[in-house]
Amino acid sequence: MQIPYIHFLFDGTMTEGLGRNAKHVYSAYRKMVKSYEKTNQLMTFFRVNSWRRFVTHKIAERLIKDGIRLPRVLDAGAGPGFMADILNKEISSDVILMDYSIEMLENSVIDCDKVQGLFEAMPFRDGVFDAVIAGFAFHASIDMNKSASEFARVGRAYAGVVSIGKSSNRLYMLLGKLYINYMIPLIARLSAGKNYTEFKKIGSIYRHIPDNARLCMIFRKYYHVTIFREKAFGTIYQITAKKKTR
Amino acid sequence: MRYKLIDILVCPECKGFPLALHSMRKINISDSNEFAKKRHNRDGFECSVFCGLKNKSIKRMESQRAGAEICENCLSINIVSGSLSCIKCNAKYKIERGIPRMIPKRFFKTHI
Ligand SMILES: [Zn+2]
Ligand SMILES: [Zn+2]
Repeated sequence: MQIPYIHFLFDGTMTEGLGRNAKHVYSAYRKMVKSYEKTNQLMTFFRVNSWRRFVTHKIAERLIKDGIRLPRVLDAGAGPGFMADILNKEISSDVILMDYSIEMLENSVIDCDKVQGLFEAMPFRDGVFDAVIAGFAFHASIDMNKSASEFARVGRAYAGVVSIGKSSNRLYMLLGKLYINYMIPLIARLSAGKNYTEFKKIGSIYRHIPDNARLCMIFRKYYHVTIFREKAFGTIYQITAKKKTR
Repeated sequence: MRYKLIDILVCPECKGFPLALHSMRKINISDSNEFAKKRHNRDGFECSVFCGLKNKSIKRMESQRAGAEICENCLSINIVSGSLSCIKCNAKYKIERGIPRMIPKRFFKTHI
């Protein structure tokens, strides 16, 4: 039996992530722009912002504690930049948005520098960011091991991630699957109209992501994980972490 | 993107740095933009390793004492269109509508 979230790269190494399935998911994100946040709000029962804020708040706390004036922060997989916007309200930061989708970046809620890029091949120098944050994006990684190593390369200290996850508990995993495959398309029908089919691709994401225990291990390779929390039967996880010093 | 980004952008393919900037359209960001005013101000320079506007390394600028106030503009000039190229591997990346497109070619072929 093939485990769906493991795929082989050209050099024969094994990794977790969307792999070649990213093609379908990324094209979906580009079409979701207009209804993206409305649907996010509905399908999380309006908790999406509090889940984002928990992570950005923890990161802001660390940056303030370190006494960094005007930290440089990368919002990786920024979409319209919601994470950066929330963080910037708490601590004035020099934020940069990076996303694959130009459509998302052009509809950003924050007026700052934007870069089209991928997690797996980030176009930044080593250690230029005081923190790297990612809100509802890491699940769309093509190669999670490479992505985490790139987070740690471009970041100098902290990482904060909130994302779609998959519980390691079988029952919760099943509940998550039912919710994502049956409820989300219904909700998206209300908020996204005829574009609702694009949200069905979240099901494909759920299928291809590793469970949360494995996910946490990927981060532990490069980071000391300070907080790891699961929400909504493990369909959401939050990580804050500090980079390991070599 | 503001000029200041040249100081941190590398080639996503080979991590070559700095990238060379070509033919472009620029505009001044209005003073009302909060990000045009945000600054790190490391010893009077906005850029920390390489200044895209002066096209010089900061080390060289420091030794020549070429003005800090010139580097200030790296925050307030927006590059709207043009391209970036990697001196190491020759890869080219477009800047369109103010956003540098930094996706390695191999990903287009295989994954996205
Ligand atoms: Zn400069
Ligand atoms: Zn290169």
